[in-house]
Amino acid sequence: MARTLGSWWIKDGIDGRRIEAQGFASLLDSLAGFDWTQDHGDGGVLEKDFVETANYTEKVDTVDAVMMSSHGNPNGFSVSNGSVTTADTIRFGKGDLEVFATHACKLLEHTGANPVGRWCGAFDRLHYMCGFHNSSYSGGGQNARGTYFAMYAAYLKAVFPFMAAYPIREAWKMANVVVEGSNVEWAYLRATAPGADTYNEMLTTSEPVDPVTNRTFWTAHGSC
Amino acid sequence: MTIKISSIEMMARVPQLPKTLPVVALTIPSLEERRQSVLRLAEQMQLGTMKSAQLEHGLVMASERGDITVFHASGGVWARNAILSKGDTTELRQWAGVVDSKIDGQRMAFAPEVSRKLSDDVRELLAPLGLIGREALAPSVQLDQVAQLDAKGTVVSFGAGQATVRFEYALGEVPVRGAGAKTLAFAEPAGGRPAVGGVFHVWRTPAEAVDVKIDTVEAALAVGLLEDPELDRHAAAGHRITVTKLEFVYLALPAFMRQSHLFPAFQIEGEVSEGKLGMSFHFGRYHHAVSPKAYAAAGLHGQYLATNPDGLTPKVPRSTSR
Repeated sequence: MARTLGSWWIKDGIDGRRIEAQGFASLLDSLAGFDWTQDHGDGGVLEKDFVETANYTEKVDTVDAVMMSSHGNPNGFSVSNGSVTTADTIRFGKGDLEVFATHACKLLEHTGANPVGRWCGAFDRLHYMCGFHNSSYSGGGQNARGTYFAMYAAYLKAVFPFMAAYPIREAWKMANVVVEGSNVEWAYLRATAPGADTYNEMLTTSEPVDPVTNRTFWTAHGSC
Repeated sequence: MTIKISSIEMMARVPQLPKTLPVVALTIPSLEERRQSVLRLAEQMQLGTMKSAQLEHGLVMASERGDITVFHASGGVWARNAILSKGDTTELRQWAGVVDSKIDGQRMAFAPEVSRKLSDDVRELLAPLGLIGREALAPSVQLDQVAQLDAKGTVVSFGAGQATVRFEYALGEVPVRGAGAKTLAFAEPAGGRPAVGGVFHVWRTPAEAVDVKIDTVEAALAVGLLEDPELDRHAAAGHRITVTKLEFVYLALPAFMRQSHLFPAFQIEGEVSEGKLGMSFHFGRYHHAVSPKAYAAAGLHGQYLATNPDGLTPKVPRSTSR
């Protein structure tokens, strides 16, 4: 069965946001074993697709990997009908989701005032949350972020099997090095567990084992 | 409608603008010009025998030990040794000479003498290969900040990860910002001393320059920031817009984009308050500081002088809801 992909984006007058999210799903969709099944823009980006809602299947959890382009602050990201915050009941991965990547500014800030552990509660069986420690940019060629994330995470290895593959954490870093200035800091938070080590996890056509029991988390951030 | 400058809360120092500024045409090295330095870099990074393939964005040379991409649009180079850190099982790295700087969010740092030595080593590696531009500033070194958290999200340990040696660029007094003006070397501790496991270099060479008239700060901000569609919408709905960073810079576009000129821009960061349209959020933006009309008056025409870059256009997916 194919790994499925989703793109969620709110343009707010800047079409690059759509390009950024769709670029990720679009490039991977061109590979055998990946299927772009969810695409939601502007008014179609709904809180109930991220926050646990009674008698409803959150759409974000019907896919394996998501690229989302909307606003952020350390405690939440925006959707068309409000926001999704650490105060909400978020259970990413309770269905299928393994990778949630977003352009939202400062979502993964890790400081004394805002330790990134605030997001651990959003991990049900999620493996990776990819984002930023500080503000990401628009207007200087950042539209290709999703495309380059897809390229380093899976596309290059699929097209050129003789290449070494990049783990998800490395692919996120590399994509952001390509599109952002060096003042911006990529960041991620990952869950890991015995028998489900995510350190070198790659985005492949096979379902990985989920980190569930005896779980710990790792976070890193660094210069683009 | 445009945003009124008086409605922006300015927490950043407003830069003083020059009366004129050179807008600089850019040249890029051809693949042939890059070939020797790239092959030498591959040898120094021990990448072994590589196969090559042409992609839309660049020439990719790869082996199972790593790869090098030369970007068509800029001559930029991305090189990576894929096996240097293969034995590591977490992000933490055991470095000699790491100190706790106590700086919030950037606690792990090298002692100054360790940074200096690593920077010198990187310069020694890259300068002979032509992979540091003449306009590079003094380098800085930053360590990835790593932490382990328990199941409840409490930090149980923290430390340093990979090191990045970073060369940024300036033309005269004006810093060059954006993804297209940097030379980075990524280092890992190997056998007790740092080894370079990755290099990213993009710097298009400045050529002839034409002076362009720069207007007042207010007029320069009106070219882009005050016309920003997203900030405009929020300002009109009563959200407070605070600018926390406002720098007058040259903007260098990413390695995969064709850029004819290095042009003046504002690098802006700020925050939009919570309000009628939703939650508070942070933003980072590049905006032009000179109007297309002023470029035309100076006889300058080129890609991205009159527009903001728009990136790639992906295909339409199978199922949508908009």
